Amino acid sequence: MKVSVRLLISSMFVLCTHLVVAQQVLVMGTVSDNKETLVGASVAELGTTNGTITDVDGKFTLKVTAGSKVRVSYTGYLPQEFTITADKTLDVVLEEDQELLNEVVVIGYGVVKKSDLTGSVATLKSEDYINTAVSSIDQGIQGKVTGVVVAMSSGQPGAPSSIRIRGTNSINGNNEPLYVIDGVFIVPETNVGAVTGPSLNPLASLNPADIESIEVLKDASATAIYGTRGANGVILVTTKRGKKGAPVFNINYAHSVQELRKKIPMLNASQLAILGNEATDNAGAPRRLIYASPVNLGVGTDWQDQIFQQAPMDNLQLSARGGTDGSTYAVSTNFFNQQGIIQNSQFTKGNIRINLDQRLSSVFNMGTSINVNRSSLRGVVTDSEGAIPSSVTSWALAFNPGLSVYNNAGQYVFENNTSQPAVGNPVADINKTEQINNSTRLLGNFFVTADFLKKFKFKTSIGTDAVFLTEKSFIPNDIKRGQASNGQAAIATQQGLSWLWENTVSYNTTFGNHRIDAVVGHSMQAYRNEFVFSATSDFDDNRLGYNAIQVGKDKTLMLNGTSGWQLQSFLGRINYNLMEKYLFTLSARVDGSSKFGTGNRYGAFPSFAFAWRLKEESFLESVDAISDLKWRIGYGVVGNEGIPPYSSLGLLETTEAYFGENEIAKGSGQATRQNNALRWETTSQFDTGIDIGLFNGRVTVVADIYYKRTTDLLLNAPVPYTSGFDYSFFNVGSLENKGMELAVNTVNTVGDLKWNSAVNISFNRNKVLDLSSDQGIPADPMLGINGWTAINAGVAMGTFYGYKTDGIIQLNEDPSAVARFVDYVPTYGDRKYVDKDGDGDLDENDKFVLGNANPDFSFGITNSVSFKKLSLSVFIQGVYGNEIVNFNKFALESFDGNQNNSTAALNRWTPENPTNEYPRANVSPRVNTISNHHVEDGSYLRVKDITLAYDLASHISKKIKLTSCKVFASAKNLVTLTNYTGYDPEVNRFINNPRSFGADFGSYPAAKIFSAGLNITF
Amino acid sequence: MNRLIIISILLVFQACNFLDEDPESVINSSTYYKTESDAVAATNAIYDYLTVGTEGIFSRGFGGIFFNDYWVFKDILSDNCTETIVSQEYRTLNDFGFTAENERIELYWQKLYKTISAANVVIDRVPGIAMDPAKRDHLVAEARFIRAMMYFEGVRLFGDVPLILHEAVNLEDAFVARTPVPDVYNAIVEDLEWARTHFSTTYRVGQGRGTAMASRALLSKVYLEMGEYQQAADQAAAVVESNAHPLFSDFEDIFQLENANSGEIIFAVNYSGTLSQGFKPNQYHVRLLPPNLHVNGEGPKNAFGWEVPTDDLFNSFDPQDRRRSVTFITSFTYSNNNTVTFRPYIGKFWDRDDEPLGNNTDADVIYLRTADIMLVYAEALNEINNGPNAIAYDMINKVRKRARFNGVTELPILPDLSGLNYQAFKDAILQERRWELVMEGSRYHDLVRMGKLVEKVSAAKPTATPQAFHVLLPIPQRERNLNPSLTQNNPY
Repeated sequence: MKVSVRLLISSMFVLCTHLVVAQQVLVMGTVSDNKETLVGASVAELGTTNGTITDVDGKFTLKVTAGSKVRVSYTGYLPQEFTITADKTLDVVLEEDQELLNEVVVIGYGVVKKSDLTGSVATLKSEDYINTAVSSIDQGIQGKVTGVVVAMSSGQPGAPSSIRIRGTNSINGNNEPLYVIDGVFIVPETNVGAVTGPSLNPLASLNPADIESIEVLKDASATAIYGTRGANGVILVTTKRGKKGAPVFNINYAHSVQELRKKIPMLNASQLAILGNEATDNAGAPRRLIYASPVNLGVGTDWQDQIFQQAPMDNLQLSARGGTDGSTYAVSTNFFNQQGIIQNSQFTKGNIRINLDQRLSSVFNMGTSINVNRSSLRGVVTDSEGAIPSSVTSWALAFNPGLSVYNNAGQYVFENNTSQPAVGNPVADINKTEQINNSTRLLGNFFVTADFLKKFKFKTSIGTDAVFLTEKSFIPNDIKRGQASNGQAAIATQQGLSWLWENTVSYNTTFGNHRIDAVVGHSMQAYRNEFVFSATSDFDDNRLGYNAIQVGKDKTLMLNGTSGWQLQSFLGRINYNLMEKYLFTLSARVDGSSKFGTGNRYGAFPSFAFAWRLKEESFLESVDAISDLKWRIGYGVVGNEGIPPYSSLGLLETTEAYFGENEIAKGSGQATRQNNALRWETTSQFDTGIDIGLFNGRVTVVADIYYKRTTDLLLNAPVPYTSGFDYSFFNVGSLENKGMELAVNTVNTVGDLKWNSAVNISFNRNKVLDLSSDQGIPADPMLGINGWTAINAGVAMGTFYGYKTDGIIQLNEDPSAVARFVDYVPTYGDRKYVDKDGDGDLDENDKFVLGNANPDFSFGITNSVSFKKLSLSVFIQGVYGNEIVNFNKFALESFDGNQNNSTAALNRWTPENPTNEYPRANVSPRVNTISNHHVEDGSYLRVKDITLAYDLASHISKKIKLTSCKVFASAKNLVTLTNYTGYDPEVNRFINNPRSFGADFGSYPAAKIFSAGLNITF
Repeated sequence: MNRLIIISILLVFQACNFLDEDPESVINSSTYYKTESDAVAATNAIYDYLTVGTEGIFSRGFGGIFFNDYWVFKDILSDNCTETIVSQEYRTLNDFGFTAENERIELYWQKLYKTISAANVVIDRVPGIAMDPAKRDHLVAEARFIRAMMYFEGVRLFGDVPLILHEAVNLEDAFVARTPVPDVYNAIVEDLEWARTHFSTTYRVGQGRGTAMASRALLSKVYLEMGEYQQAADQAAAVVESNAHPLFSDFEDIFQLENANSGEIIFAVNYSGTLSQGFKPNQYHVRLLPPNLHVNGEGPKNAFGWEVPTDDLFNSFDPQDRRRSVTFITSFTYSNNNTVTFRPYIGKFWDRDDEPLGNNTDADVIYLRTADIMLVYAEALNEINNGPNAIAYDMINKVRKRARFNGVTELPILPDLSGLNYQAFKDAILQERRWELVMEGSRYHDLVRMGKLVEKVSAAKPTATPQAFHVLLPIPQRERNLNPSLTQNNPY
């Protein structure tokens, strides 16, 4: 680093003193491509700052030193160099550089050549991410980009993933990156709440096959142009646009079959009965009738088999692209249908996209992108656990295998009433409970550009993201879930509409060896949401369900509301390129948000970056092994405004009470605390990285290190109840993320047998630096367990706390000498816990740090091999070093005989089996003691995708003019190596709650997927 | 082109107030508390927090204290009832194994202060509103009456509690230490005296709102707990002698829906299944009535029988005591004359003629009634005179006389008491209160006040482990984590 700085400084001095007078010659001429003259092409004397650009007629005149080299270049074309010894006329015809066109990287409000990039931006082209058998792009980029962790909140088809770029920056709910699709900011839509379980993935409204490229903006120098919404990183999605030429049609169809990765080994009917009897015997309680004769019960019902299924998935995509001189088009459609591996869960969607571009005159161009999507998610109740188990996966695991699905009368068995509380028949539940989530989403923009004064370009763009959401649920009165309410129905509709108007002026110029790209702009965005939510209960008749909720006699809920926010921004950026060696970027955005206190609305977010292309220096010119070398450094400040609207206001809520028999007393109580001091959360980030190309680009390496610090953390923090409130929004403290990223791409072999590899690995360390109060911020209680994780100063978010097990009380020990909880007297066969403070009592002071939800590192390895028309790609992905709190284990290892247990129960302590691992059977144990037994290693390595493809085109193309006809077969999640005992290590129930992430509890498990398909282009 | 730029610039400048927030579907509190209707609405809000609250049905904090825990706590923390629900929180209360982490205790604290802060808003803001002064004072009196109720709960359950008498405008106002018990009691007395003298007799009268007589009745109970026996007796005497709330002649009538807010009932927290939508009736029948009786449209619906009477309680009654047959339900007869019998459950709150299914009830939670105050009077007199005098006997014997009436005639049971010394009379009061006030929020406090908690609970519930320190509940750990100046009751 020190050496580089010195080099930098010395080269600056060189720049200032370089002009040496020598013999001058005149070079003049025109620059054109095959069709027309090129305006603004650069003509520069190499190694100096001397240069010019072509005028409106494509002509130039330049005085250069005799014998010097002149380079003629234009963005998107291959540069040419000429040695000038005397006055000369040059008529240069430049050729389009296809390779270079691919090397253009989209950044906020512009594009740059990849070689000119100063920030940390990762690009995924359509061929790099998986787009078969996925419903949305988030699933396709997992493991493909350094610094990006994709976590699944649920395996439910259509459920959203969660993306973290360079760690968790914020302790409030918003850690998702900003998505910008063709320049339109996507509004994160929330559920109204009429259905239970996962919401609809907003990214599913986009067809992955429509995407040309995805840019992930990671460091502050790249994201500062997005100001208040840049702190969590920015994902720019650019969809495919038409190209001049004959129409190109593409048809892609894939059929897949999904299945459960693994079953949890459970006790059979007779094993459970033996356990149940032992549990009551040990507690001196009477045996339960249902377990009267264990041997006769046999194996019984396998409830997992009853709810899981092999499920099909179909994906059909059609597209056409083409255009004439002035007009290009790209239209596509997509139909996707996925049944879930839990019966009766389903996700269906359809898309239509139209992208058009039209040249209006030599000055004006216009274009539009329109995407219409209809998504329908039919859910089963999972991921719903609060105080009591209500997920069908939990019910299936808890249900007594001694009971069957149907009784002798052919009706569903109602409940498993030995479990506490009784759980319903999961098969009846998935067949009768209805949870529907429909959305229609329109995403579109329209833009006009105007080129003026040769070097300026004005662009105005109007975009919208409009979401129409309907949620419907019905729980009939004849199943367990509907018992307390005697049937319940809910329906909610929501209209969310955002509009965005942006105006930018960009300026590009090249003079000599200086190139400047600048952009300034103004942006306004507003969002308005309206919802209606009604629910009724107490149904006499189940037939009409959610289609006529007025059948319910009790009008449980009638609610409507509206909310909104506004953002106004001013932005600017200058990229300065000196001699193709030194690259400077300066950017800033001033953002104003309606969500903050009146004095704190505006914030300024600047950034600076510098990159040095060392390969262009003379001392590396002769080093052939190094084909490219660039060093980047940047620093910037970005913001986060991801809190609900009106958070700084004190809001009233409508109350209702009753006086006597006739009087309804409506009132107004205080619902939220006023906080005028609420202000931006800001993240400042330092990043430095190096891009290396070796052996003619056969090996490329991109490495980055970064340090991020977030201050004024926004948090809906608990406040003393004595204030009259339970939570209130504050700016409370600071945290840091620091890490390293390394991506290596290699071309291992070329020729007929091509073998490419891509390896990436990312390390991130998160630490909370301070919170304004000494006390940590505990997680939401789960199963009555407080503080299983908490945000504490000095440690990472997602740190787990609990007791440490210390074996089992054996017969030769004195149970009264064992440290105990105040509410439970242990005896032989009960679990012991480490008494940390040695006072004989087990309490809060005896809790240890048991693990952390953040991986030490995550990685992805892709190998692609092709031989002539046959290609094979294998993608391996994984994380290492994170822990998962397996809340399912409390039920699976209850050993109380109330509910079914995993086969761990077979190894329970008995006088004859003095194990130190599992306690004795006991019908009334101390429940829900969290210990290291429940915190499991979540590391995994999985073969995420294997795809084998063969191009049939050459065999049949002559007859029907096919460009390509690929058949392919793929397998996802085929092999998984993990020690995690739950359904799947890719689980993160409360990922969107930074106070509670890293848990598995009643989740919808991820599936293993086998696909086969056909891709035809003609 | 230039025109476009000019239009843009104009629009930007026009948009100066583009960022102002206007929440159209909720009211911003900074624009509120200006008119009489604002004053009434702010006062009405107190009653929602008192009864149900605005948290969603699936929220752990659903329900105000009277929704269930006010009456559940006092009897499961005693020899009266056993808890059968699986919830660890209730189970540990039943067994006296609870800790400062107990969620139900935490929520009880939360509800107390939520209601107190809604009352503080009225007490602070309403006096500044231009309106009829008598009405204004009445609204403040309503708020101060309920604030006194809440602090009376707080001081009896937790001992020293943070005494917050103003809206916590700045958050620092909520980070206060615990105020000693005598100061809390003084504030309660001050609130009740102010309320008593400012209640209107023509505006918003009764029907679940405080009255001058209710203030006196509550004062008598407060003074009794304070050990200020003469003042307790004076207030109780004023209530009894006014005859404003005469005893019903039949014990059963207390719980008949048609008698709501009338007769013996001095103050009840009003609920209404009929007027409310959603799950807003109190949980009497859900929690107390026997489960599984609802067949073919008959019998209590959605009932779980979570709190059941101990054998010790059931067997303590004279079999012919009217209060035994009213308080408990041990059988149910369907219209086809099929009768099922079962262990005793608490059925006294169920008016089975008016509400044959029991669910969605209109029943109120009775907070003050004359029989209670008569026994307070008797207890205070016994303390003042170191033994019962004639009035003390008169009070308890009137309660016993009513229990002899079986709806038709007076039975030869429960003879009038006489000739008892101080301790024997005190024991008789405790016994009479137990029979009279099952699940009416009384038993735990009576046992604590008379020093009998450990003795009586140990005898009735062998699994429970009450100890001397259980006369107070722990300060919720969450509050102590957030507010380090809160001390804990020893030895929690």
